[in-house]
Amino acid sequence: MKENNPNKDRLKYLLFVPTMVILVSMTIVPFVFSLLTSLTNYKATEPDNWRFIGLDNFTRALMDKDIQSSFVNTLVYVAGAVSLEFVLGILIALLLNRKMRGITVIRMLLLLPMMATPVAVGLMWRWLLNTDFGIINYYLSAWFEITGPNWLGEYALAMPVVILVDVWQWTPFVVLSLLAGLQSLSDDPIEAASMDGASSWQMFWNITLPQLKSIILVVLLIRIIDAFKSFDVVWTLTNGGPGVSTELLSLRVYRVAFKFWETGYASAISWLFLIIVMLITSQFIRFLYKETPK
Amino acid sequence: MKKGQFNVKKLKMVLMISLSMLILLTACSNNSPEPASEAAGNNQSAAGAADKPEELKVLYATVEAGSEAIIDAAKAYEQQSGIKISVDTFPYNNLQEKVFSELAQKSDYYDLIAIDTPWVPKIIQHIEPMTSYIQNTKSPELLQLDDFIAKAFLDTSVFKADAPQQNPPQMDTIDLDKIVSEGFDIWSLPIQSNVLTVSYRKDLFNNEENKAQFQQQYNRELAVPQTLDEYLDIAKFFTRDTDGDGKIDLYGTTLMGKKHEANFVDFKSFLSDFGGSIFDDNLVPVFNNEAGVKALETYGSWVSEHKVTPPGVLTYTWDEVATVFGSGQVAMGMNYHDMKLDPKVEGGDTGYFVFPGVENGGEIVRGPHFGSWGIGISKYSNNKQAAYELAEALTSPDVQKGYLNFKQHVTRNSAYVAAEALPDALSKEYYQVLGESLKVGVGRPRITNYDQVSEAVQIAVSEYLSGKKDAKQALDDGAKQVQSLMEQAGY
Amino acid sequence: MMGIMNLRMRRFLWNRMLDVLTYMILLVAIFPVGWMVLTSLKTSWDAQSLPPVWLFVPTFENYQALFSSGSTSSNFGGLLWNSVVVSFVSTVLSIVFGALAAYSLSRFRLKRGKDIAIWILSTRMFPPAATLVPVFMMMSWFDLIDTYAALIIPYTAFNLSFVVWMLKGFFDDIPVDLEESAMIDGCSRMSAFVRIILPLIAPGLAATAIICLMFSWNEFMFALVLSRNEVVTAPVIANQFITMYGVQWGELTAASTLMTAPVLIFAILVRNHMIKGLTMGSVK
Repeated sequence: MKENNPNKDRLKYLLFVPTMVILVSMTIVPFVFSLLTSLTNYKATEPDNWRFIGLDNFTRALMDKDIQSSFVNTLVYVAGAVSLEFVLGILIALLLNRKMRGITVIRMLLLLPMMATPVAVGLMWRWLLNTDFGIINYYLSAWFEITGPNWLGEYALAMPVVILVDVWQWTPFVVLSLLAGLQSLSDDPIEAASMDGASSWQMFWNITLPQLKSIILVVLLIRIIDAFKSFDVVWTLTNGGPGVSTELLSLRVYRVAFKFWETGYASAISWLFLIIVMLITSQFIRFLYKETPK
Repeated sequence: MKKGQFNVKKLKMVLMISLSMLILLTACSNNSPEPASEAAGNNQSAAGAADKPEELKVLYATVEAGSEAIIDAAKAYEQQSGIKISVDTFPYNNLQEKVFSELAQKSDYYDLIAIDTPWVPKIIQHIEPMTSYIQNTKSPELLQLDDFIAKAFLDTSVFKADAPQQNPPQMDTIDLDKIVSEGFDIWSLPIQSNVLTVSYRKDLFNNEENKAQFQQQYNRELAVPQTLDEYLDIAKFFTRDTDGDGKIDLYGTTLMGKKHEANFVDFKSFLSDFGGSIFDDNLVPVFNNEAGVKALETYGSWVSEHKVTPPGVLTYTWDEVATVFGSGQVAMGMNYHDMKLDPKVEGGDTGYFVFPGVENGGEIVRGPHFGSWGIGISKYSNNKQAAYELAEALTSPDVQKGYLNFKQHVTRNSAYVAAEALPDALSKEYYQVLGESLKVGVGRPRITNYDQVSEAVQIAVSEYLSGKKDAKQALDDGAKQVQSLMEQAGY
Repeated sequence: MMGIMNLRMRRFLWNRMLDVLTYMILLVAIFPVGWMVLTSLKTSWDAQSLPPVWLFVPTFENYQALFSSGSTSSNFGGLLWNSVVVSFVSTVLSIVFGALAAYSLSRFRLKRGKDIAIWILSTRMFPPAATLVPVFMMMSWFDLIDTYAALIIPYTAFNLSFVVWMLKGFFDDIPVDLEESAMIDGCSRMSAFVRIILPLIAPGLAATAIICLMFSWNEFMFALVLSRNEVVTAPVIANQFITMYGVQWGELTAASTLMTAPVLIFAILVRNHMIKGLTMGSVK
């Protein structure tokens, strides 16, 4: 597939120009800004009063107890949420890839959780889960005679609950993307295989899944990155509490940047954040590049 | 392939150029404020219209600082003065981010800004001191400093520019000379004062059966409690199963137990009652002393030992408290406004009283948390004098009387006197309680890292409430954390 | 004969079971949103009562309240319009730009193509809170605060990384021989791209567009800081119903309902592209 057509060579870079212009203009300044400020004690509220402090922000972040615990929380959150979303997402996508009355409407309605405004999603769940006037505990007690727990107030329960809300909200994203992938597949191999009498499980495992490999990896990648950054829902649901049990790294960065206004320190944490996400996702990226036919 | 390489080089060059251009651009505009916006801001004619701009812009909060009343008053001022007033309101939850971003950018867009008290130390260098404007006021009848509730005024508006952590001299009426002579300045005019008050179910308190039963059980009359102990008795008394289905459906009181600012100030109110405080005079954290432990244990015992609060209070902030009180599930509730009952609560009637205290040497010590909104001038405003005049008008005695119709938490003694003549008995009662509470209220630490300190205490309280640590341990850990935060901030 | 009947029977039952399962999942997914819509039609007292009220006379007072608000920065109709402009423009831009870049990444041997792709993805990994201050600074230097551009440009940038990678994924899953045979038939590279490849990934394009739209539609933090009164978008104001005076459930849910509807409508409009039959026809 070696082509030496100069037009093509120009074209393949030309296609990048608009994307590059936007991305460079929107990211270079923030990147440079945060890299420089991470080496200072700069505060955006005191712009004229700063000095270079070398790597102090980074060592401080590594020693910071709050950062450490929020890092652990984030790992638990991302691992729990993304794996559940992924398994459920594949199953639901297959379920919706069948012929069924009203399936298009169902597909649309299933997207509602991620369409709703995150602030409203957080509040609705906070309300539904409320121990005293939430309807979940109300029906638990009215129908099953169970005294519902204090979902968001108990140390051990808060994290699983915020993970489940994330799963509720973002599984549709996995479903939507995989469904689109399934819909783009050509029917031919499946038809051929079913002629050969392969079972539907075999067909799924040996034919469908490999064909979707790239999109599955991309969806995982995007979900992991976004789960690392999830903010609104946890912020409204628990504000990181009780104690520090649901304090995520993204909440921490926000607090340091916009409540404490330690801009320099926030920049340093953000770079560490970036490095962590890079390290974790690089495995996927490598895999993706190895597997993609070139 | 060669060609391709060449193109990558070109691409790199484009990247480099655009990068350096951006840096260049940023660098020069950083040094000299752009002429464009300068011109836009100063589009007053040279003919000396400088003290009467066409428009004044106000950055304001929503209901928490009584936006409706302010917008109404701003309209009246617009008619009177011929200056267009535009008030942009943003929700309280994120107002801090908004205000700080504008100020950090030294933006001249807004002239007047709503300022929550704990923000002041951090942004004091972006606020224009009002002292000289006040000294040269053209309309003393609007200003009347001595009419402001002194305690609220001192807490909200009086700071020392280079040492905002210092407390201003105490006084019963505002004395400008004394403030100035001790090196303090006035940075804003208080426009709304929020303070912790108790709303209670008057119908339950006045019920003859309850009265008799209470008399029998506690050997005293069922009446508005003066101390936390009395309050707890009443809360225990009302925690009961009213419809006989074996489940408790009425609770004594609310608390705000979620890890949240609401929880910090809730705990702080208890702490002040027990004579404790977050810091001593040298800004050393002392909330883990005996008073602190007592306060936290009392606070926690209401939830876990006496169970006089609804089971969900560990997830409550101000809004849940308002909801649960409104639905008639509690006999008493503490919040920063006059809570209302759902009309569906049959025979429901509401009253208010001052947050109870703790008896200490024959005297009752009370320290409900209070925090006020001030309205201050942006240092980057191009219309400072006009902005000052607007601030003066919006907080003037007559205008504040008008605020009573909006249930604004007014900041002047004269407004509270006027409130005594309100036709609505309930409003009258609330204003009386509000006025009294403001006189005993306790403000927040005046430090640049207020939010960090607040968060550290929230975590400590939350860890105790959720059973992770005992009170002493939690507070000790919290104090240690606060200590290191203070060192970090250079105190 | 019996065997075949049994097989059919089993398949039929199995399918009905899956149908039931689908409905159950649907119920879990839409319940909170449905509850939101129901609440928006209740009076404020009904909204909070326990036991929950299921049968009631719908009222539109919450919606009326939204649109009767006086000040410019909180007129809900205006805010919705701002949201529409900002999110649709940024979605179109990011899809068009992103599709071109993704195609190039997927199909050509680029020098350092992988690095470029990873760099594009890494722009998504940075916590938004850390980019907000510098973006605010940039926008004020260029005097863009409170203009549509101040929101459209960052939203397009955020979405681009997503679009490039998603579409690259979809392109990668399409065999190369498809457009090569088209090019042998005399199509140019670009026309093969537009006429053959794009229709093939139409379901992917539609899905990606929906997600981009959702992101820009619901973004809150940048909208808050980069707007003052002209271009304030709806999510900024949704927060104002959560106050210390209690959550105004009626107005909050009405606002949320109105904010969810346009995205759903968009999804319904593009739904035809998400179904195989229509698009595959053109290839075969």
